[in-house]
Amino acid sequence: MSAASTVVQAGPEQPPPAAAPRDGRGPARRRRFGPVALYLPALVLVALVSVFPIGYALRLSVYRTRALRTVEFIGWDNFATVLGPAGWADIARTFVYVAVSLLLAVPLGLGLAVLLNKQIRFVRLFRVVILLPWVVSQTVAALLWKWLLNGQYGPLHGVFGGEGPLASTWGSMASLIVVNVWLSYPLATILCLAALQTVPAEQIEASRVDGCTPRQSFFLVVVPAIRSTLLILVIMLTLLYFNMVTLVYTLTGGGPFSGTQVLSLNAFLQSFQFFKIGIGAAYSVVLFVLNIVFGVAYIRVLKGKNDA
Amino acid sequence: MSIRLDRRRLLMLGAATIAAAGTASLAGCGSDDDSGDGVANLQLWTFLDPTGTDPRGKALQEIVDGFNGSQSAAKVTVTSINYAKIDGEVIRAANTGGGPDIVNIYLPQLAQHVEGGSVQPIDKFAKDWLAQVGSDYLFPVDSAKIDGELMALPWESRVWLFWYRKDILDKYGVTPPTTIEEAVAAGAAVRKASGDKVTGFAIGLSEQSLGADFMEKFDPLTAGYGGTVIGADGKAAFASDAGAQAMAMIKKFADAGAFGREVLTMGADEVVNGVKAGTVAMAVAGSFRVAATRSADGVGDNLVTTPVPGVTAGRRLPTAVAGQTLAMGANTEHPEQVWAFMQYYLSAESQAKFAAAGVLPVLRSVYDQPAVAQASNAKELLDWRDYLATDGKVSVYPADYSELSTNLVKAAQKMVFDGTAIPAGLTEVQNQYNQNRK
Repeated sequence: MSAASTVVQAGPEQPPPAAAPRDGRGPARRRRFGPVALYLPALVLVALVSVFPIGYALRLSVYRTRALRTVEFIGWDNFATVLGPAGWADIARTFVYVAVSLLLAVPLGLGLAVLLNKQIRFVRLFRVVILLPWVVSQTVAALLWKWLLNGQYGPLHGVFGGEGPLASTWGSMASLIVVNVWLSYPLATILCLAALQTVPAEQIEASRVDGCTPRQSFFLVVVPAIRSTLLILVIMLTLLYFNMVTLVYTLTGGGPFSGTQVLSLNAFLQSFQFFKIGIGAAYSVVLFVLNIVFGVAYIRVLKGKNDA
Repeated sequence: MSIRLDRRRLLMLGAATIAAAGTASLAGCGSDDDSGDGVANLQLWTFLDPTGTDPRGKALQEIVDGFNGSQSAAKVTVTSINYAKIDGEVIRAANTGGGPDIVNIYLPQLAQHVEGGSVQPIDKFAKDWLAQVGSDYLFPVDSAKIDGELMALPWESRVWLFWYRKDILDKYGVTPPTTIEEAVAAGAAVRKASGDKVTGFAIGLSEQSLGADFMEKFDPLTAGYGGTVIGADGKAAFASDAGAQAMAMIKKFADAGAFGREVLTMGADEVVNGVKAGTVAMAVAGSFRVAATRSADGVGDNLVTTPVPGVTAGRRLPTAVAGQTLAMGANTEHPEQVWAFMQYYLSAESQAKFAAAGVLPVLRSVYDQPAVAQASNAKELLDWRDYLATDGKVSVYPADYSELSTNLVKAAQKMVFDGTAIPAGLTEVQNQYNQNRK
């Protein structure tokens, strides 16, 4: 007996048979498409705010633009600019910025999370202090650090001498990374702390009984247990760093000597300072591709390890 | 009567609710046309902050309050946006059908706004008014015309002056320079005597803020040597002997030790902040910043301004002619009221209020008003006015001026500190710029 006929026969309040589809598959179809209909509004919303802009950016990237209007189709010319010698330098700087920031922020966040996971006095106070940078906006953080690092009147003037770190190419990149890590390690700490609190204490105790040192216990038991969280954290931070504009724009503006000019900053400058929205869109498309590539790569790594 | 709500009807109801909510919210995104009582609500977007410490912001608030109280047809509300961001915000907003009714635009950015479609011509409104007032304009009002159409009304003049901190020069026994060459030596002496803690003569070489501080020196210096940054044909012309001499002079400041690499982190704001903090002894900065700088702790009359010393004794460097303007937003639905506000903004009373805040008025007659003539800064204002009248240099500011100034300051960094040959560095930027304009 089909599900449809079951429903029809369930009670006298059911709609007359004429209302049900003649082939008797109506309820089954509803069950199949009902969930689709439920998430359709969300899908439309996502399409409007995400898919459409991406498509629009793709279209803009192959046009020569004037102000915010398209002028003529030029194919890949904008990408030739973005992937030219200067563009590759931007890409290289972006990788340095993202990779070094990740290498610092993730271990720092994990380490602090381990400390905050201990039952010690004033742990709440420590949590507040450690997580404080999270509530600071990128603009405020940039202005604060700009003042701290100022070579003439900044409080850290004595450490860096007359010119300050922001006056040199490598110094400004190093400063940018430090400020970026300072801003983003609380996110890493929170996610790691939440994950650490899900690791059963019995597992750790069992590993210790089996002869593991605390170090072995951490790397062989705890870290594998929170691997999924770490991966999600790495993906989140990678996307955050690749797309970061405000901090770079406010702290260094890409300089000096273009030493901190990363892809996201150039996408912003071309689009909204020089109003070359076509080239700006091409920069954004390259960034988008990099985000996708890294996201997929991370997921494959995790999936591969889980399968193994 | 009972209504059955099966799954399909629930879904349809949900979809209809979402559609209705979306329509309502989209409708709410439109400009605030009327308050319901027939008063047009006008949005003024400007870089001035009425709530800040800048005296110009206070003057603006007084003028807006005065206008709002003087009539009942319109009410102006001020939105303050950082000067480095306002142009982008306005152009983006205008291209989505919104944006301000009235917008403050710095003259060098006006062409960019016209190309971006964020403002509209005001000839038909201004024609009669200019016929009456036009000859009173000290500022060359034609510089606000793009392709023959008047796109904005200049309300503020500015000149770039030689600034020095008298107390710092006295401390290190340095006399104020009278030529650019002397400024190099004086700057080097101050920096050396301070153990590199004070920048002797600051020229901001940061690419932040579109390299504005560098351009404000490079442009008049090039003019001082008889050249120009942008030629009459709209093409870049700075890779000339005059441009090379100007660039060589800037490099000379660095080579002599008048400034170090700290200027790589300085834009116009940082240079002025340095003067306030006493870490910059001399600079070339705008007249519009004098009042705010003097109000800083320990500055006051220690900040002295004069016309910029020339390349030879007894001469003065030309000053660029630029200033703030007021334009009509492209999407305003109340052009008549906007024009009424612009007229009020340009009235002698409003100009006098700005003059008291250290702003150089654009109308000649305003300088004769008691409020200006008897003000404590009257002599200085008159000196600036005379400098503008005798040594003012009208520059061409194309739509892509921002990109040009950014690329030029990047090239300047390399020429001053990285060993790039001066004519070659200028030629590369010039060729790239002119190539893009073909």
